[in-house]
Amino acid sequence: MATLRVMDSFLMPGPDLLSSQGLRLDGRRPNELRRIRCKLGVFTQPDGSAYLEQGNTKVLAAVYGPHQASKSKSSTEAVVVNCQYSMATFSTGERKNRPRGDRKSLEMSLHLRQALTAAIKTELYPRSQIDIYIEVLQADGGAYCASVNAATLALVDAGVPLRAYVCACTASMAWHGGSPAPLLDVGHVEEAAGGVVLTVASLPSTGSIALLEMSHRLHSDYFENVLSRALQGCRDIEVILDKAVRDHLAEGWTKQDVVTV
Amino acid sequence: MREVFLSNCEKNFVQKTIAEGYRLDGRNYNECRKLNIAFGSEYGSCIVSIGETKVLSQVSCEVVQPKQIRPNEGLLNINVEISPMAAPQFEANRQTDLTVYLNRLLEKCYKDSKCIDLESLCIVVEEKVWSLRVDLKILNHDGNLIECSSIATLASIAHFKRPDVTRSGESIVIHTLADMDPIPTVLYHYPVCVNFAIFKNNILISDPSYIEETVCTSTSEDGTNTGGLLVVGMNQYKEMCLLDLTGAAIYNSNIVHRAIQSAAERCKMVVDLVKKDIMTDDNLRQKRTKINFADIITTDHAQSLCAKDLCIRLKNFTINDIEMEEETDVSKSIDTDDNTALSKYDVVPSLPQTVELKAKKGASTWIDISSESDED
Repeated sequence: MATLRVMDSFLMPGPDLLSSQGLRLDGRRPNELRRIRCKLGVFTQPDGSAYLEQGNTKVLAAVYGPHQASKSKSSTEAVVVNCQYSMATFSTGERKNRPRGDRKSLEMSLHLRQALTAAIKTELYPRSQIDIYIEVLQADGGAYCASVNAATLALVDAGVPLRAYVCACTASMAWHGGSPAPLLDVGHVEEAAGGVVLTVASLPSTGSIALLEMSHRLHSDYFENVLSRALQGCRDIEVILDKAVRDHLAEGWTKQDVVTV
Repeated sequence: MREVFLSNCEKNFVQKTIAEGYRLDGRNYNECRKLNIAFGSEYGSCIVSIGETKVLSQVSCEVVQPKQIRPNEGLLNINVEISPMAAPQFEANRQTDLTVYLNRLLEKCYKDSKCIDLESLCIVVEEKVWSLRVDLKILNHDGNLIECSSIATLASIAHFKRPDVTRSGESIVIHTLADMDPIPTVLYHYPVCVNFAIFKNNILISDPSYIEETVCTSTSEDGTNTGGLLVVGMNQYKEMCLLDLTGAAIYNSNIVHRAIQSAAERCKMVVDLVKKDIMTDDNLRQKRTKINFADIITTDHAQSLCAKDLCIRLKNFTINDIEMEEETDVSKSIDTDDNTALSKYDVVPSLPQTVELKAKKGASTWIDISSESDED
């Protein structure tokens, strides 16, 4: 029985996440990110907003703040970051009956708060509150990562002082003919196939890790590989986000910012 | 009741002592408190205590219809409740951040890692399956709730036995425990969550107590948050089932590697202990000895679950020093024997060159009330 168990864990996920030519289920190479498209300043009401697409995952982020905190939540030392993660009912394959308030969404909200608090210069706004609202329009794996990336862009659009960009990326592990090959940016099909998913949110310019999260099983010998691949992914995403911010600012003021008297 | 705020001087004191290499209760950085698993009279109930943190766990099962997308698998539900009994700042029936955190970590560790064979819980495909429900109640909160809860979940699931089922043609008979021996749950592997506290300068502490946990997640004076909690879930084959970092950002991943190695040793030790305790419990049940929870209450005081006293461990002290002092005290004044009688602590030598305060052991006994009284 013991040997059978060891074999089970060694042969890992059943369906091959990597084909014989080294291509993944959606045709990418193991170290390729999905295509990221983003736009800043999509809403007029919130102080900052952003829309981000990572492959087929589409996420909207809106930032309000800093404004006066409600009495129960205010802190005299730092700003209170309040996040709400909501998935639209049409975002997943099966209709999602409860968009927010269930345990998974509450946990995602906590994780978002943790990642963003690490980036925002919280000591500049005591007794204030920053609200961040995330709406997932289509979830195709990596919804949390897209949310963090979108929230970073929305914070930049709102003008909230940040220590560094926060980027999040997922990584997984597959076997290519017996040797381990870490996969970058896991999609929904690969997640559902039972592979391990390591989510890392980091501040790439300082090199620190704000959030580490892993589910399913991974042998500790392979952890180093998967972690370094995910951190590399975060660095690549930061380059993309930085370029998007600079392009947005270079195109001048948007139409909404012009006030005609 | 609101949570008691941590004062700045408490915070600074704890951070300074930990930076210098000491912990408040005298442990080393990688030493854990005493782990005790006690099983109850029903299959699947147990109380696990790490130091003074106590968690009660109960597994129950019922027959339900399976999920549409998985018609041949049973269901597993894990539910953690924190009541005001654990600490005064918790409100009854209110879902706080801590409740969500504990629930999600346990779900990820036990459900997503597929440690239980759910297909063995199937009775009739698409119609009837067993649904296992693990209910955890936090009895006392003295830090490291996640480790205590995960060991309680594991021990109670491994201990649980479900009723046997036989099929004869169209009818299905569920036998009572008296009819046929119940069947234990099939576990592929035994995952355990281990909790570490991270302080400034890459100090990693295993099994943090309540005050260490609160200090490392609070903000320091310059408004930055430099500490965090790292939870690593591992099984005895060194496979990681869960990894979760809360609190501040860490500056290099070296600390995670150290934590994983430390966790591997601790998990192996805990899994061996769980398996051993279950075997002992099995043997005791076969000999028909009475198994109950009363034996784990070890002091004669009613407040055994409320520990306002600090555990003190004095290094570089030997018991002879203490006795000599006591003798001189007694010779000085005769009134001190009142104090010694009421004290619930003993000063005992534990490790070499170390002296510890230990609570006196006095297991409570069952009170037998005879039914031959004439007054009824």
